[in-house]
Amino acid sequence: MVDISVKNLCFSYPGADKKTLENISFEINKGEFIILSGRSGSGKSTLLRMLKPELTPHGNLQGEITFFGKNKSDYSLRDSAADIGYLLQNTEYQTVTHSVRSELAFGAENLGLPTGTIRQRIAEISAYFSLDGIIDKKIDELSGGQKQLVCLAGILMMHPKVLIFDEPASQLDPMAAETLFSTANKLCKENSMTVIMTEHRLQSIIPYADRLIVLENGKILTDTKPSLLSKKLFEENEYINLSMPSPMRISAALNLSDELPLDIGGCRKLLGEKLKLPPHDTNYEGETRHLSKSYAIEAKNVSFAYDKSGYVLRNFSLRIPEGSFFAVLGANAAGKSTAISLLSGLLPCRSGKIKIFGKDIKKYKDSDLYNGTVAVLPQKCEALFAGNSVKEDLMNALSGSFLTKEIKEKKITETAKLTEISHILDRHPYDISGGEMQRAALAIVLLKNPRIVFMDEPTKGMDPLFKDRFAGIIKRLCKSGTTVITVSHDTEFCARHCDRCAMISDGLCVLEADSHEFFTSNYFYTTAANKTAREFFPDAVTEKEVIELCLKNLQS
Amino acid sequence: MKTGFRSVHPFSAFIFYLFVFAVSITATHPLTLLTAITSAFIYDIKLRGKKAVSFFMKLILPLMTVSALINGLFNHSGVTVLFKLPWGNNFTFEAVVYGLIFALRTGAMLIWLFSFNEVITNDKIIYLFGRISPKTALIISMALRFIPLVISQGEEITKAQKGIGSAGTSKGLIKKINSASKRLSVLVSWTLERGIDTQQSMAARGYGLKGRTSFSPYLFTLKDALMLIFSIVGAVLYFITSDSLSALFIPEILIPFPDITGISVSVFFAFLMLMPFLYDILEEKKWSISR
Repeated sequence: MVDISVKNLCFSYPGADKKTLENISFEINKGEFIILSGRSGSGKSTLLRMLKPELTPHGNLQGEITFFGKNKSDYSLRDSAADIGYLLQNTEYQTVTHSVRSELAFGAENLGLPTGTIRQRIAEISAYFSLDGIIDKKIDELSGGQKQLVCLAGILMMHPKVLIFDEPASQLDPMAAETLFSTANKLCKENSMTVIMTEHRLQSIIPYADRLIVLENGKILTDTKPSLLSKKLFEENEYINLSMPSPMRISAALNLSDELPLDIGGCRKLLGEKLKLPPHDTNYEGETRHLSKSYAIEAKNVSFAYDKSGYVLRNFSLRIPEGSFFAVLGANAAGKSTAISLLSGLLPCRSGKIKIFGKDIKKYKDSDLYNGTVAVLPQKCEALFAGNSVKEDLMNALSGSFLTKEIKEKKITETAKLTEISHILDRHPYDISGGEMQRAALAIVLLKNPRIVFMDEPTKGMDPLFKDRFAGIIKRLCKSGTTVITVSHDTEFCARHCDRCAMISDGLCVLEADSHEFFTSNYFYTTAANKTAREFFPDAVTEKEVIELCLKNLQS
Repeated sequence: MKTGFRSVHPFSAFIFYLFVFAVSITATHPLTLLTAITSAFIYDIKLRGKKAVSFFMKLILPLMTVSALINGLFNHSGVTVLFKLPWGNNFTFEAVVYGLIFALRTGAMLIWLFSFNEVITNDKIIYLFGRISPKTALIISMALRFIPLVISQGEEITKAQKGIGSAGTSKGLIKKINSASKRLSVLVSWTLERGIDTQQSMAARGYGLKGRTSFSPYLFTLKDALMLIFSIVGAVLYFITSDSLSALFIPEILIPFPDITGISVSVFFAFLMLMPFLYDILEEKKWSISR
């Protein structure tokens, strides 16, 4: 049975010459789990919005879309509201009301369901989602993951047939994301709901998917079962090669089998079969950057508590070499963000000692510390933009300095080039994409000439291609002597790009090492590639390393 | 779900509070006022424990003393002159007593307000509004979601601006105003832009379709009906029998001993005003037995 079918769909936004979507045709069958993938700006979001009449943007639309056998013009908004659930990525702003219970009831009320029915459905949903603990809470008491689950539950109250997820986990930490994905999978497999999802973290959802549709420049690049994804595309298409999960990339590169394994276990088995004998050459000689012997930051025995409820950090010690790209990893609530706030001086250091370039942080005046020494790139970049154009905000960042206008202009041009935002300087900050906004925010931060830049989860919600570009920008910065410190959940990113990594757990820094050593010495908290090939090549951390070592062993 | 009086249907509870507020504000007879303040205090202790006692000691008692004194100092009518004030006016017994009565009223009102706050939660207020205008109720609910969100965003902006050296680091009034107005404009554009998400999320869930219903988790049961009837009867009795339970303080204190109607009405008032407390106690008993 076909739920939604799209035929020869073309779409362009008003005033745009380029078509955002070009000649798209596909059918969505009942009960399918479809992943819609593609880099930022490929038209995924626009396509998703075509599948939900209420959210379809204005513009020039050609082609045919049918919903449950009805033409779009015959398909009523009432049916659409109930049949097609749409979960947005913004966890904060898509909740409408103040309490969990009224949020659950919201959609059902709009449909005009009687109180008795709503009461029954709330009971059912809260049992299914185990919401009992939070049903009496206010929305602002919930974590991001809980908010997203409540939104999903609110949609399910309307008994939809199709669920559309638009990067639902881009603002969630990995654990909360896993919960959301497995819930989506359960709804698909057990309640035969159709699921269409866009997401960058493919590793966690690809095992659930029946179909993978990849968009490129508004066209369908491929539409296939994930395990049958063409190996040629891995060689030819940069996005596919960077975005697909490690097991798929390793087996595609080594041509391990006809069908690609989707999970780590499957790939490990194939790898074992291919290598047959235990490999003789397991050492990976990675080039490690030579780091300076002097330290940008030294923290010694730092303890911190927000209130009486307990220490967030205790006897926390860390040394960060100058000019390094340094990552701080750890579970939720392990104290990562607190550590960063202390090291950057946003929270006062009351117990212990923090030195920045050898000088006690308490001896810095705020005005000196944040003008030329330290700068912090916030997690939510919106917090930096107030102007009518990106350039205006960049100008504002320089307003405190006594430079002439020409020098300011020159600095802005240089920084814009470094952060790759020259083409969007005249656009309004809210008209550019999330990734572009992040780079523009980085430009604002860099205009302050900091010697140390702090970042809080910069890769959240970034597409994999852009992650590489972002890493490139950071590496250029580090080469010129700037120290970059990031908090992250993204093990793959840190393994690939960081110089050193530190693990925080329970307020302590439990491990601090060269990033290669860091991931090989971890057993659970490590990259997918390392988990896949650990028994053959314990030294390999990234897919590239696994593939190279494997080829080396097969040749000899 | 809470038990006891807090589980009573919002409408019944609301009418009950209207009744006790009306009595607390308008009653003149000390017997009625004492009933009101005592039962309010008992229920407050039940709800808030030690806090209620310290609230009574630290605020209500001083308030009564101060009120009596102030009234004595500035109100000079009354026939029983205790002494002459240095500036020549009379300090009368009646004025002091009137001050005390006034303080009893304010005290009863304040204590009832505290329990009102515990019992009539935001959810119940929204529900009550929803009966009159569902749209207003939704707007209140959205506002209650929006306000903490904007506050947390404001904090985020301050932190972010400090991190790039634009806020909290500057000295001097003009600079401070500049940085504050910048933060405000960031907040406004952020809120407006992201508000589009809220609007889309509402549209996606069918907001704007005809025939929207208004869900309430509250059930109207027999006990709620009883509570409602008692409160209404109480209010009616209060207005009918106000003559037999009134007192006069200025210029002369006239507190008539209540007649048989007055006494029986007073007993009923005591019973009614102790209802919240009794509800809680009885339910606690019931559930501790069933455990």
